Amino acid sequence: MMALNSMTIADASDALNRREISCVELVGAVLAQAKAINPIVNAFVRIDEELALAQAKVADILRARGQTLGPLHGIPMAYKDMFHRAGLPSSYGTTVKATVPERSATTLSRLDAAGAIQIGALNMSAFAVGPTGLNNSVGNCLNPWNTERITGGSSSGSGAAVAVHAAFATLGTDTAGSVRLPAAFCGVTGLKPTYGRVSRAGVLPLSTSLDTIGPLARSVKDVALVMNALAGADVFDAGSAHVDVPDYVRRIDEPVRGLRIGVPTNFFSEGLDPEVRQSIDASLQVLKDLGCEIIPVSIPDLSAADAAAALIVSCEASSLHQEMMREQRDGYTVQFRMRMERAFSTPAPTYLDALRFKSIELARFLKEVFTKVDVLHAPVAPCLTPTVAESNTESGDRLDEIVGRLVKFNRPINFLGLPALALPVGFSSDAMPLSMQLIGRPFAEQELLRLGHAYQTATDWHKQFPALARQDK
Amino acid sequence: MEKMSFLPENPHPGANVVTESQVIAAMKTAGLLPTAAPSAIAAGLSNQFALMKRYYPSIPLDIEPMSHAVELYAARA
Repeated sequence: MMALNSMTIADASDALNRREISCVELVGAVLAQAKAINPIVNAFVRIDEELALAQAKVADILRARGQTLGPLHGIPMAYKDMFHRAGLPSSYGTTVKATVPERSATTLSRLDAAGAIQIGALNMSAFAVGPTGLNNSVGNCLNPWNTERITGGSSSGSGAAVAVHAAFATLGTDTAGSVRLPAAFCGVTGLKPTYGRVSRAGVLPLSTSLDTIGPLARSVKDVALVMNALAGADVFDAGSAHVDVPDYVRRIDEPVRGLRIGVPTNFFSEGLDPEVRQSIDASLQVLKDLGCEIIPVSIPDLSAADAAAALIVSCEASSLHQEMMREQRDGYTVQFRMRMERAFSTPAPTYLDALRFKSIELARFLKEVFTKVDVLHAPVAPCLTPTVAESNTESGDRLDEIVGRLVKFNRPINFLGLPALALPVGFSSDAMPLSMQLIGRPFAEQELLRLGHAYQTATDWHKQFPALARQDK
Repeated sequence: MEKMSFLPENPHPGANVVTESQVIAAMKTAGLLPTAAPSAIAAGLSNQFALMKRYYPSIPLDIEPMSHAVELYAARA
C-alpha cells in the first residue's frame, strides 16, 4: 500500500471506510511527516500533535458507531495561520501581538463539521502580503522541490505542506494570486473561488473587496471534496454570495468534449519564459485531445484593472493596519510598509472610483471573453520558479519588479472576482513544477473542476512529488 | 518625476499627479514615517492614477462602488 500520508483524500476516505486503516494511523502518519520535514521547509508555524491525535481517536469512535461525517471524516488538514481558531492566537506570519479569537473562522467550523482534523497552522507571508512567500519575521518557508527556490505566496506553507505530503489539503487565501502561486511553484492543485463563494469570516482580511479563500490539495478531485464542505453563503461575511452551491464532486467525471477553451492571443501570452510557453502549449494539446474546442481570443487590456486592484489593496489594508503600524512598526516588513504607504496619499474619491471601475471591467471582460469561450486557459506565472536569493529583497530596489512579475496574471482575476483553478502541467529543465490556470465565469467552479479533473485523468503531472515527500528521506 | 508615456491620453491633465510634498504631508497626518522615498511613492501613485484615469469617462454615474459585481452578473447571465 502507498504510504498513508501520500494517499489522496478520496483514497484515504475509501481505506477508512473499509476499515483498512484508522484515523489515528492516518493522522499519526501525517504528523510524523510534518515533524520530519518542518526543520527543512518550515511549512508549519505550529503543529497540534496532541489535539489532532485526540480528535482522531474521537473520529475513529464515531466511525465505529456508524456516525461517519462524510468524505473528510478523519482527514488531516492544515490552515494558513490567519484562519482563526477559538482559543488559539494566530501569528499572521508576524511577530506582532495578536488577540486570541473567541470564535473559529466559518471555514474551519465547516471543515470541523465535515470531520476534517486540523494538524497545525501554516507559514505565510507577513499579513498575507508578498507573492514570493518569503518571510523574514518567522523564517522563510522553502520549496520542497528545491529549497533554494521560493514557494510562492502568500500561502507559502499551504503549498509546501501539500507538496511534501504533510497535509492532505490546506486552506489559503488569494487576494492577488496567493493560492495559485504557491500551488504552481509547489506543483499542487489550488482553487481561487469566485469572490463571495467561500466565507472569509474569522480570517484576517487584507482587502475585503478582493479577498477570497481557497483549498490546495494533490488533485482536482480532492479540491472538489474540500469545496463541498466550504462553499456557501454566510451571514458573518458581508461579501458572501447568495448563489446556489452545486455538488462539486457529483459531475466531476462528466466528459468535457465540446467545451470552448479560450487561448489568449495577448496579455497572458506576453513575456513568457520559453519553458512556460512549451508546457502551456502541451497542456492545450491535452485539452484538445479530450475533445475541447480551442479558440484564440483577444483579452481586454487589464493594465488599468491591475492598477485599480493594487490601489484597492493598499487602501483597504492600510485602513486595517495603520494603527498597528504606528504602534508596532518593527513587526511590519519593509515590503508590507512600502505597499501600504501609497494609500495615505490616495484621495477617497479615487479609491471609490477604483471600486466603481470593478463592475465596468467585469462586464467588459464577460462580454469580450466569456461570450466566445467557456474557460480561459493561461499560465499562473510568466517565469520559472525564482530563487530565494533573487527574491529576498528587503531593500525595495527590485520589489515592484518582482511583485509585478508574479502577480501580473493573477491580480486582475481577483479584481474581476472570477474563479481560477491552478494545476500542474509539467516540469522545467531544472526540475521545478510548471502550472496553468483555468479561469471561468462567476460561480463556474464546477466547470473548472470538471475540466481540471479530465486533464488530470489524462496526465500524471499531479502525481509527481518531491524527494522530501518520501517517508524514507 | 518620471514622465509617463500615456499621460497625453489623460482627459484631465494634471488632475491625477501626486507630488512629493503631498506624500510627506499625508504620511505626517497618518503619524507614520515613510519607508520608501516620498518621490518614489508619488511617482508610483501618479502612474496608478493615470492608468485608471484613462477609463474614468466611461464609468456611468449609476455605477456604485460594490463588492457584489460577480453575483450581479451571474444573476443576469
